[in-house]
Amino acid sequence: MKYLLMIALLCQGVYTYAQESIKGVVVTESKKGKLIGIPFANVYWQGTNYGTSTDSNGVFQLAVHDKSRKLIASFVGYTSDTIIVGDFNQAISLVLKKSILLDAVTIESRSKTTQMSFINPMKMELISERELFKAACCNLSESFETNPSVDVNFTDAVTGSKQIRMLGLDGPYTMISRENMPGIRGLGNGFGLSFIPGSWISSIQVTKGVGSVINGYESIAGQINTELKKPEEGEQSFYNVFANQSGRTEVNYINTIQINEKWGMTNLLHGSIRPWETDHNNDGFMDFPIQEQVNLMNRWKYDNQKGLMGQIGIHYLFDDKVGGQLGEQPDVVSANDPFLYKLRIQSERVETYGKIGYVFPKTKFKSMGLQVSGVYHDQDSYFGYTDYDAKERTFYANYIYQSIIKNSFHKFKTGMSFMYDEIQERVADSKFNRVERVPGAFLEYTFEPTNNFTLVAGLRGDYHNLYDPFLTPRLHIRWASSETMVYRVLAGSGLKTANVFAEHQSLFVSSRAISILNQNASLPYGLKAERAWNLGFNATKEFKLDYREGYVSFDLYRTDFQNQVVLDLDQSSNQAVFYNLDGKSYSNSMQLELSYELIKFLDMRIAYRWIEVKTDYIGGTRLKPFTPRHRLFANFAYATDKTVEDANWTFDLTAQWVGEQRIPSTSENTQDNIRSTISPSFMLYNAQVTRNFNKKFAVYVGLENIFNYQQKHPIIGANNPFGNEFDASMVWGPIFGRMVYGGLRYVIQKKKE
Amino acid sequence: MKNLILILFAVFAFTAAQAQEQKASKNQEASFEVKGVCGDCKARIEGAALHTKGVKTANWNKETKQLDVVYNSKKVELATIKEAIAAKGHDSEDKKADSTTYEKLPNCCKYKDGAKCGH
Repeated sequence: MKYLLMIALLCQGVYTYAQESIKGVVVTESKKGKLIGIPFANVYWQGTNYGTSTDSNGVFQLAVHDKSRKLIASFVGYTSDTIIVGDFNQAISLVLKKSILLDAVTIESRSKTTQMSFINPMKMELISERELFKAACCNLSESFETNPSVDVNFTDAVTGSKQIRMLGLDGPYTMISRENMPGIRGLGNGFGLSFIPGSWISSIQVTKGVGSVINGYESIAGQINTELKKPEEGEQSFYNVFANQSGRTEVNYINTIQINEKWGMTNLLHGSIRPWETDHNNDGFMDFPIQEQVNLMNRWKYDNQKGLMGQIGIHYLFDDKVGGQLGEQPDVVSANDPFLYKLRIQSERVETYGKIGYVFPKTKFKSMGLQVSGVYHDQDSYFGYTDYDAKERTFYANYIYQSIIKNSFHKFKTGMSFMYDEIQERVADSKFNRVERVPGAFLEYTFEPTNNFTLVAGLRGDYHNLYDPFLTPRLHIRWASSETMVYRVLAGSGLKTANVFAEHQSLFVSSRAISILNQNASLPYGLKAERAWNLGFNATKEFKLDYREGYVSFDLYRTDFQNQVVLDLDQSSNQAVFYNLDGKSYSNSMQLELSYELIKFLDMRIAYRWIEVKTDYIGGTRLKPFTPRHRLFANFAYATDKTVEDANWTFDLTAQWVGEQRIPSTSENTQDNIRSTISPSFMLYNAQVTRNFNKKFAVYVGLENIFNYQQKHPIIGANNPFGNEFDASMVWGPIFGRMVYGGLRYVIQKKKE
Repeated sequence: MKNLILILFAVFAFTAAQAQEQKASKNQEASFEVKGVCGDCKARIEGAALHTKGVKTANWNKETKQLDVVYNSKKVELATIKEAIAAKGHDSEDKKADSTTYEKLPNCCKYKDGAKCGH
């Protein structure tokens, strides 16, 4: 009946209405071919701010505008329609089509493996699974080899672990979330990146600078969100085996089944092993520990097809590393059989989560969601004579309500969150226990008057039991000056608790005495919360040259710390001192990036990045150590096109040049143990060849560090690990050389109907 | 490394300049019908066209069955593109695929036998 009315209205024209307005309807075609009105769709004159929204039947009335005759209708989840209005007396009908996101994935013959979002108000890079295939090894810490925005460094020369950096700031300043829920934080900052297998990841979103207030107040330098494989991606079985020349072997199995129309389930299994001792640089220390990891996840999704959706899952991890000096610990210690420097890190982690979302069926712009997660993390470890045991219990809940104000030019999200962290640590004989309880509330308003402009203003207030209550404002603005040119500006603050031990476990593999100055007994570790302001600017120009696409992107970011927990390694080579910032600490960064399909099927990405991170230490203002000022990056990817039965090869080459870094002074050491205070610049090359067979089966072989560049003698005082000059944390470059690896992937994908 | 990057920029600038020169004279657009069904066919048809030397872009619409190509007319003729597509089993108006090639197509792509698009 409703449709008949509309059609009648369309036929009849609009003579009964005032001369200076037009009337029309915004519709979409249902599966059965019926035209259905879209309520609350935006209708506006192109290039102006004059618009309205449709009523509950999809009907609108809009005053005529003298500057524009192009009428645009848009609605979330639909492609926009534009119409040039000739006769103002005729009723207008605008037809929107559902955006065919899923189709685009399977059909697109050539899409970039890393995509820079043009529409997102935040500058977001989407790293797809195919981009991750380019460097097939092994876990999240190794997933950024082909990305210029994220740096990956070894933390030390003994534990074999890597940490990431964005804008020159250490990993913990970046909020690493898993499906927009808290991911790697707290104790997870130690080795958490290696607890997410690369084969489980379906995509990664990298955003520089502060993020949305909805996900909390912790992001300062950036956000990395990982999406794992999930039931929504359709039924499939995935097998993956990986091995490298040092015996590192990994196995992954992922299986998704759709149980019925409403329920789907995915199991993700991972096992990995580093079975034997390896010492390529002959310093008597294993280059990386012997390791075992078991990683299991079971997850479910529910969708009643009427607006109610839910997810639950559980993730279990066990990881055991044994490293240090080669050989067995002797039964009887003697001059010929000394006590060996060994380390062992055992981690166990259980994570459960649930998400529930509801979209109001009659008003699709209205929805609400609740996310809940709980983490139990237990690390038992020793490093030589130093014990470090830590336990963490975390509970998190976040409720989000989303709607519009009058029309969908004005959207908002609001809600409340609660974060509970209970952390107990023991370092040698000292205990550090704390409980953080943080209820908070947030509001984020999005103003999107046209396709060219978006403003997102967010504010959250959190009531922390240990710190004073604080506000976190954040602002993102996007302006597209043309269809290919976009500018973005962001500003905002972030706050986090410094987990001084979990974040700096490399200090345990040194003889440095750890001390904390000016402690306030009521605060975690006696130190204030870290708080910083972040400002960013980005300009991205997309272009097409000779029918091939590319973009140029320019970034400027500045991060200013109001307070920072400063780690000072310069007081002496025997000390590591933590204290609250007194003065200034900032990071400036600039990045220029060019991406282009250089010749048919050959994608090129080159980037140059300049970073300056300076801090006022007790001894004066210095550059942050182990942070190169300059970095150049180039990635070349060649793929023979994907026709179903044709052979399909891909070739990848990544080259990077890392500039000089400041190294804390070791001048008090004996002659042999003094190192330069500036590291040399160096180059690194990685390459990989993948052969795909009929979309199901792929074999890959790769070479890391092709020219075998290594930091010489990375462990200071390796011959006397219990002496006071021993330090395995002074790492600025690769600690092991060329590495050959290979693997295979087998996917059986059940086609979606 | 710095030099390498400089060279790359130079190569890039050079190809860009060249491309600008070529644009007006050599590149031609064409649109013709190619028989096919769905997503797999689209990948195969566009792949066959793109793999032909001189073809810049290829875009096949599964609803209208029209293939839009841009090609360098000094390097390739339209007939060559059609031949390459026929060699993968897809008919166009004046170039037909031979029956053995057609039979090798997956069932979902057999446009002569009434295969329907599932999505």
